[in-house]
Amino acid sequence: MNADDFEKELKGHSFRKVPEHWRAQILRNASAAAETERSSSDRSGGLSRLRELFWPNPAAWGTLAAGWIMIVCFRFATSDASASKNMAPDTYAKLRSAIEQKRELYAELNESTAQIPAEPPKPRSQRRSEIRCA
Amino acid sequence: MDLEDLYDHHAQALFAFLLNLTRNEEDTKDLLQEVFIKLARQPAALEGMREPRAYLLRLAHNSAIDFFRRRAAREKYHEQFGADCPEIFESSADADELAFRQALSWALRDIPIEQRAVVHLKLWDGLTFENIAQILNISINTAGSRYRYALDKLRERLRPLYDEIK
Repeated sequence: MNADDFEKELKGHSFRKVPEHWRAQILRNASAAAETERSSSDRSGGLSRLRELFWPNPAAWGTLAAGWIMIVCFRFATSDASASKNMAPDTYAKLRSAIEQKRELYAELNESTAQIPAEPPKPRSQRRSEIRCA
Repeated sequence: MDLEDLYDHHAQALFAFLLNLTRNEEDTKDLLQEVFIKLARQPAALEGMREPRAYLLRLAHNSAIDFFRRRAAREKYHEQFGADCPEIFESSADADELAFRQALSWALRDIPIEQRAVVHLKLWDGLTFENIAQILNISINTAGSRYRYALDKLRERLRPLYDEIK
């Protein structure tokens, strides 16, 4: 068996053909996978741009954020206090008038009790021992 | 060249190479799919390349090797590897030819994958040892010696049938 002949013999046997229906499936899946990767890389590209923007001086950006937080907190606290200030006079006036009313009512009650004449004491009935002595 | 043209020009060669390595049609399909997904993700990979076939065969080979490693780690695939021997060659109306193709298919199954890859690229893709060495990332001498070992085994295995037919 000559080496060249044997190699020629082997070469002469061709492989099976790739199934025809694979073409559409493989190309569709490959395109879909590429599209998915492209969209995810776009998203990560946006994130990386943000990172590029903030990263050069993270301490400065952090300080600025903290400053804003303090301003917001301060504003919230002061607006709360002024609201309570606005409410206080109204409440105080109501309370004062209620006290005044109570005081007047009390005074009227005192006056009316003073004007009613005191009833004379009823005659006491004689006790059995007093009758016996008499 | 777009993805469809690449498929039309190279899918048959990649299919034959992968089928010879995996001996399994489903695995071959998965690996062929993997190759084309890589191409779709990197459309510029083949730009200005004179030998896209060599690049694609290298992609296919690397995918197959990764696949064997994953399988080996998962289920000791090598023990069961190639237990069945699907028809990898075209059918033939000639009974002698058909018998020889079946015997060749079994004989190829029994040689190591590294040698089988070299034999396939040399015989059925007509590549030089230099090209084969680049594709498989081995030296030219290694490619040559693997080819000779493999061919000796095939010759020894197929000699009775070959002598009978010729």
